[in-house]
Amino acid sequence: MHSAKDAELVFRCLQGDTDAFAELVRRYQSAVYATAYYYVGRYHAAEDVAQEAFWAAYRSMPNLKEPDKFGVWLKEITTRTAANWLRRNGPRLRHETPLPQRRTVPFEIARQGPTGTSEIIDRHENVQRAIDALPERYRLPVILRYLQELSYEEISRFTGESRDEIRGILHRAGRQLRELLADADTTEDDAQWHRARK
Amino acid sequence: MASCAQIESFLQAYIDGELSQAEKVILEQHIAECRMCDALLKRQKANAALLFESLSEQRLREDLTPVVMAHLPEMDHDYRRSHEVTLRAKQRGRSLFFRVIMPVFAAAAVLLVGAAVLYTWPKTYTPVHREVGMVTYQQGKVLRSRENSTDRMPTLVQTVVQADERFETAENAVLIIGLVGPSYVKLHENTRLKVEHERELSLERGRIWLKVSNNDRAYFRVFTPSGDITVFGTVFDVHVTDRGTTVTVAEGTVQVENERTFTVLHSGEQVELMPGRKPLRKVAVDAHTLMAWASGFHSDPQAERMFLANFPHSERIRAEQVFVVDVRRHVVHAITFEWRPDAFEDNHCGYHIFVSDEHMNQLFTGYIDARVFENKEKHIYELPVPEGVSIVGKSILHINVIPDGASGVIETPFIEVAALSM
Repeated sequence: MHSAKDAELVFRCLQGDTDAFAELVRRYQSAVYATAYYYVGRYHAAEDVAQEAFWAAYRSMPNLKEPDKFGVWLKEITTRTAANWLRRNGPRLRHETPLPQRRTVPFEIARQGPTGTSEIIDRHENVQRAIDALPERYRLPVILRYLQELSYEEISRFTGESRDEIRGILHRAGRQLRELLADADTTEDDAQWHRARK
Repeated sequence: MASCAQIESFLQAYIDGELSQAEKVILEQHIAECRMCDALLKRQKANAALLFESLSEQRLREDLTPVVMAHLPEMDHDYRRSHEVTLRAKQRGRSLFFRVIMPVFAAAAVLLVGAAVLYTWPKTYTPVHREVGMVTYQQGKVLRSRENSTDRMPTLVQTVVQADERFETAENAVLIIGLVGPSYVKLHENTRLKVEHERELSLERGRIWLKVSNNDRAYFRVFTPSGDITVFGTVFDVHVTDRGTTVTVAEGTVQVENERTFTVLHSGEQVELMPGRKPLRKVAVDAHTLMAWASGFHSDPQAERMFLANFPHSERIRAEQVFVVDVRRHVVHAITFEWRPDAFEDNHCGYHIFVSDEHMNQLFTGYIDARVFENKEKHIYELPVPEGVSIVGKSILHINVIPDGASGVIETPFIEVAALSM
């Protein structure tokens, strides 16, 4: 899937080839967006932060020391951009009522009335809480995996950990999430699995 | 068969589609036979589904690329050039030309250019006129001229003397030249002297008095129309007249020769050299009376300080020591110099002392004899302020201590210089 190596694209960027940068954006936008979402937590803001991060990366691309570690470098830039965003907007947000998370409620469930809807919302909140309860080091890989469905390879390229480490992290995180969510939702059955499948 | 614990560690990767083919086979075999693990897999799957489902709402839906590319900023170009170089260097798998041939060629080219520069470099740099001394006193009209030049320039105190320069004193004029060594030449009136270099003079007319520093590696020579004079360290007087050359020695030993013979003169002896005649009849004379003309004038202290400090009088000694003494407007009667006694019996060098005030106006000069340092009991020398000099109302004194260059070669670093008042 990665026809050209990152380092090659970086080199072409430095020579003024913007198409190469477009390729890098396509390649990394999911990861950058997920990271921004992880820090900023709001849909539109996460998009803005992701864009800003790419612009910052493009600006300081000549400072990139190891072009083959572009992903890790980009993650750092994204983190910094998100931190700046929070510093700028954090004080304002504290006085704002948080917006309800944007959700699509399946038609059949909506027809069941408010009870069904609230049940789904509860489940979403449980998931959020469970992810927040994970050790810090597990959270970003979990977000990258479940929010953007990145492969282990893609996650590893972005966080700088090896593919085996990512596999270990996601395995342990998966077990913890299973336990956390089992406590929250004792009425687990196969129905959920079937619904998610279709 | 794989253990349940091992299978459990495969579950997540299996759901994520990240298991290798072999691991997948092992897991599927195990699941088919183990109900516990099968149940666990179902739970894990349900769990993953829940996570996907609940986060999918927040998934990035649009392609960010067009927006990002539409507002692409300028790259920081400051670093770009240098970075490209490192990047190119880091790139692997480049052609043989860049990896092998180019570096070799570059090195060869540098060597070639270096060799060319070395070859065309001027062999030795010889200045046309070497600086050999300085005029330390001048009175009356004195002119100087260069070899092969008819220009005559007036000569002033602190004029730098160059090799092959000719000096001419008019009636009632006198001149002192300090030559690297240091040696001093005093020129009488109506004298013409050519400075060949610091240890060779040609006296063409008139009379000179010389004090020559002892340099065990080089003679000092004076050429006259009637014969040549060769010395080591000494004080003597040479007078060229129409009849011949008279040489009088006050200190040390002087060898006098003409084309036919030679003789050696000692202190208090005089000889008259006449061209072509066998001369050399030594007579005893009162040298100091005969040289009285030369004791009537001395080097200007300022000029002498400049001369001593700025010319390399010995290959081994040239350090000038400078001290500033805070005297706070007290009346100063003496200046003391303190040092740590060294282990050497003799061969110390003497020091000229130049004392000036805060505006660098010369107040007086002194001299510490080299023998002072041979006495190991003593480590302080007191230099009295001479009679007739009063140091009153000065805030600081500058004290320059310069090796005389004429005595030994062992230097003495002074550790403290102080002013004494009654």
